[in-house]
Amino acid sequence: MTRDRIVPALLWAVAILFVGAIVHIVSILILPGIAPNDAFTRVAAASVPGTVQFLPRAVSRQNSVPFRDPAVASAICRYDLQQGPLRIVAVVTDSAFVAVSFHTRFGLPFYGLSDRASDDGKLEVVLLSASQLDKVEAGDSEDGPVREVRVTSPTTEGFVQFDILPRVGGYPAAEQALKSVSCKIERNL
Amino acid sequence: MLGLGTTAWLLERKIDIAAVRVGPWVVWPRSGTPEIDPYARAIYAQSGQIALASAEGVLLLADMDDAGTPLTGGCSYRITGELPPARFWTLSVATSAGLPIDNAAGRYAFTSAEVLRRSNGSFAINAASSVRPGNWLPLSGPDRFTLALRLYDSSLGNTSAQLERSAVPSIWKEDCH
Repeated sequence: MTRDRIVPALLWAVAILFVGAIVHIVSILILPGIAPNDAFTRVAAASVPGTVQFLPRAVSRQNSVPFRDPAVASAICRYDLQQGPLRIVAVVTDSAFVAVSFHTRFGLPFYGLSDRASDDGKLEVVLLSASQLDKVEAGDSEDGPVREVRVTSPTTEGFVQFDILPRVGGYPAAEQALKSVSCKIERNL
Repeated sequence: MLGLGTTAWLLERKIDIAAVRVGPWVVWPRSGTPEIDPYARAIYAQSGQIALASAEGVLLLADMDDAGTPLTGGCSYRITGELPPARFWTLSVATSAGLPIDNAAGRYAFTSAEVLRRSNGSFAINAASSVRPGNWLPLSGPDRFTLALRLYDSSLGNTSAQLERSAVPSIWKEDCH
C-alpha cells in the first residue's frame, strides 16, 4: 500500500523538478532579450546615434548604472549601423589610461582596446556590419596599408564606451581628456 | 513557479554559478567577452550593469572580509597585500546593489596613481567611517557595502579564473562601533 503511494509521489516530484528546471533555464536565456531596464536603455536609448554623450561621474545615486568606477570619466556613443558605419577616434596621451569598448544592444562587450593599441597618438576604429565591411574592403586599394581598425558588430544597434583614468590630476583631468573623443556616422562608405 | 522562482532568487542575489571566489573576492571570468555565461548575462541585463570588456580590465568584488563576515559600514577594515598584475587599478566602495555611497570627504576611490606606498612598494588602505591617517577610504552608514577592485590593462584577461589567493589583497576587520 505504502509503496503504491510513494512511487507516484516520487514520479510527480521528479516531473515537477524537471519542468521547473526547464522553466528556469528558459527564463535565464530569454531574460536578456526582454529586460526593460538594461544598460543600453539606461545609458544610450535617449541619445542620438553618432554623438558623444558624457556620463555623469559615478558618485551620485541618481546615476542608476551599478558598479561604474567613480575614478574613471566615461562617455558613450550610440550606434545604429542602419544609418551607416561609425568612426570613433580617441586621442591618447601619456597622462591617462584610455580604453574604448564596444557593446551590443544588450550591453555586452564584444570588442575592446586600450591606449597600448594606439597609432600616432590616437585610437581609431570603424565599426561596421558584415555587409558594410565587404563593401569597404572591396574599395580598398591593393597596395596601401589600412591604418584604421575595423570591427564588425553582432547587433545593428549598441553603444561604444570611452573610459579615461588619469595618472595625475584626478577626475577633472580625466573629464577634460574625455573632450578629445569623437564619433560620427560615415554615410559615404 | 518553481523555475521562475529560482531565476528571480538567483538574480536578486546576483548568484552566478560561473563566478570564481578567490579569498574574499569574487571574479566573473569571461564576463567581459562574448563568451559570457548565461547567468552573468541575465544578471547584467536585469541590473543594467555594463560589463568591463576583458581588453580593458577585470572587476573583482568583495562583500565579505577574509574571515567570511559581511562588510558593514559600522566596522573599519584594512585592505592590504598583493595585487594581480595590471597597469592601473582602482578600489572603490559601493552599496550591495553597486550604487555609490555618499561621504562627506568626497573621496570615492583610490587609484594606483594616488595611493601612498611604503618604501618597499606595498600599501595598506583603511576603509572606515572616521578619518584615518594614510590611505583612508571613507565609509558611511551602518549598512552592508561592497568593495570593487578594478584592474585595468591586466594581463589576467581571460585567465582570471586561475587567480591565486596570494595574488589578491586581504580584507581584515579592525574594530566595530
